[in-house]
Amino acid sequence: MSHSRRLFRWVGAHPGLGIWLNLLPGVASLVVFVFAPLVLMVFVTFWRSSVDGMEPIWNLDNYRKVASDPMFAGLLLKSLRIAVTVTVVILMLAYPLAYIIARKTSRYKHLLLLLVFIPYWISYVIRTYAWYPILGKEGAINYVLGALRISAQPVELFLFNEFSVHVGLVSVFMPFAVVPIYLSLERISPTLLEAAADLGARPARSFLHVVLPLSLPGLLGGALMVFILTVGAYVTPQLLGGPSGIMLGNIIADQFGGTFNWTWGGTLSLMLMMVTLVVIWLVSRRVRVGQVFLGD
Amino acid sequence: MNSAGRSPYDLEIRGLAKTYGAIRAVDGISLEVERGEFLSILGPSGCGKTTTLRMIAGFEQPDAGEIYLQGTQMGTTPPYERNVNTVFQSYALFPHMTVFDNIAFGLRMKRLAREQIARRVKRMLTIVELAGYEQRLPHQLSGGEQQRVGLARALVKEPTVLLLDEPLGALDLKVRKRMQYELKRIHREVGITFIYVTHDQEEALVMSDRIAVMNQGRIEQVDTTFDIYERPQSLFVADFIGESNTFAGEVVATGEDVSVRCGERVVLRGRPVSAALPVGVQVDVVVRPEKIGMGRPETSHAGEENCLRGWVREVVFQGTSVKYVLDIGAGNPLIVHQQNSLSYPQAEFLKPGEEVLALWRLESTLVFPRR
Repeated sequence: MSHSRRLFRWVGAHPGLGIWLNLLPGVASLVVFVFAPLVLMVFVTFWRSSVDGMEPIWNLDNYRKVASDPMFAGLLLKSLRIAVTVTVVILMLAYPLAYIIARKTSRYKHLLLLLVFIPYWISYVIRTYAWYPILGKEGAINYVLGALRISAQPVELFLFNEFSVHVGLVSVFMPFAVVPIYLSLERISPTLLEAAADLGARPARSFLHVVLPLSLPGLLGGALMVFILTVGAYVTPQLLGGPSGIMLGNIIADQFGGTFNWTWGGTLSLMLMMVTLVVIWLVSRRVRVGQVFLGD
Repeated sequence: MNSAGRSPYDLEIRGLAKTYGAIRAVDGISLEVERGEFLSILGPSGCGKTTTLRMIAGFEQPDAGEIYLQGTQMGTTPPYERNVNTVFQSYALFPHMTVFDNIAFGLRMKRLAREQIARRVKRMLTIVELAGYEQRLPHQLSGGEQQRVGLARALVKEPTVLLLDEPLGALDLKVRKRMQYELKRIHREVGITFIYVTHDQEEALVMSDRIAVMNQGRIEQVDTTFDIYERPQSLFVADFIGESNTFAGEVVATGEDVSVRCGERVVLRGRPVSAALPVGVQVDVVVRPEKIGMGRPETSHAGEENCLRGWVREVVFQGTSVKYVLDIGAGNPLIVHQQNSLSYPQAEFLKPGEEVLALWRLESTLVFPRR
């Protein structure tokens, strides 16, 4: 009897095994591509960087640096602040947009939703560069200001600072909030709104008591998505931030590309991940995170 | 129109019409509903009954006509300012609110005091027999329970008129039957005017004081349940409510009653439903299956104006009754329902092929002029 036949027979005799065998490819790829790199990253934070890369000399220097380095704390707080501001601005823009698409139009729903995503057919980097001719010294805004004689000199306040980082992040990540909000609004039966009106609720109160609470999972889900993407942003602050608009993501990137301090870079990444996990945990106490990303 | 509160009617509809594209959903209907009445709007799907209800609720604007609530013209008054409340077929409970919050919703919109709300919700929960369910969420309730919440939520506002849009349509048969009696009891208890839309003629008969039968956007007849059943004013109503035998024929003799020839050798005597019918007019003759008696062919029968010789074609045992399909040579077969009053093991049903006499009275024979 061949070995393979024996194996098949053995598997056949243990039916409980089938499910584990089916899961194997998925689990294996998760281990190789997610779990192992993560573990490795945690390990290297206890190592020491050297001119050749890393040396497995166990120490806590990186964590001492986290605790003592004011630059890290400052940058983390700044990144969190930018992420929170961008998330709030995006929600204020995305909610009305999603509301209009979901509730006010019937025939053009899918077309409008597509329009929200069409910019994504163009590279992230190019879309970010597109702000140069808008916000720049010779850009569209300055041209209009000049033409209207509001300012005699071109204003240099629009680009290469925190303002332009906010603008860039809002424009890049807004669709990630539109979709979950749209989906949660779309699911609200119009009959519920009729019921609310029938029971004496004016449109504003019907929105406050019925629409808003029922779209809360989408709202929180969109907020979570945007926050996670924003807090670790790297390309946008790199291109639009200038010296004052830099975020934690840029410093992390520097450790791997520029300064060649991988163990410090790993430590910073781990810290950022911890913060993100805490935020996800806080949100998941209000809504089921699975519901947010999978739709139900 | 009367000033508010003086009208004898809780609801009046005058010449109401609504068109969707080329379809006349509601085609000029008028109706008066008295205070505390239970009126059903009955008709097949697409007859305009739900559209009518939605216009009363204010969800749809009529193209023509007017609606008055206790004498007050509604015009373009939005739903949230009308003193009517709706019970929806799909329940439409707020899924994120508890039973208590669902029922309290309308009262909170009125900004009533907290204690008053609690008291009225509690009373309503008792009426719909859901005391103790305050903190449950809608998805934790059965369909019947959800609809009780829907009912309580609408009734707690003490509307002038309660609108019910096929509220039992999504429930299974057993629950539906029980809820029919529940609804009747609740109607008696609260004394509010109920407008009940349904396509189920049995449901309408069981529950209503009066029924308005609708067909193709028009009201065919508004009458008490008894008159709707016994004195239908059109072939549509006769056909839609209950079962009926229908024969096409021509008037051959006329007077207070008419004689109608149906097929080669059958002449039926009946009462015209409206105007006198001259000889030669094409008519439809309707007789209810349970009004027909059967006798042995050799016996003679006086007093039954219609007496026809026929042959049993089919016998269907239905439990409470036995359905016979007879061949009488009048075009359509004649269906007869007989009460099953036999006691086991007696089984003296007729057999297929047997010859019988079908007998029924002149008053049970309705003659409608062909439209």
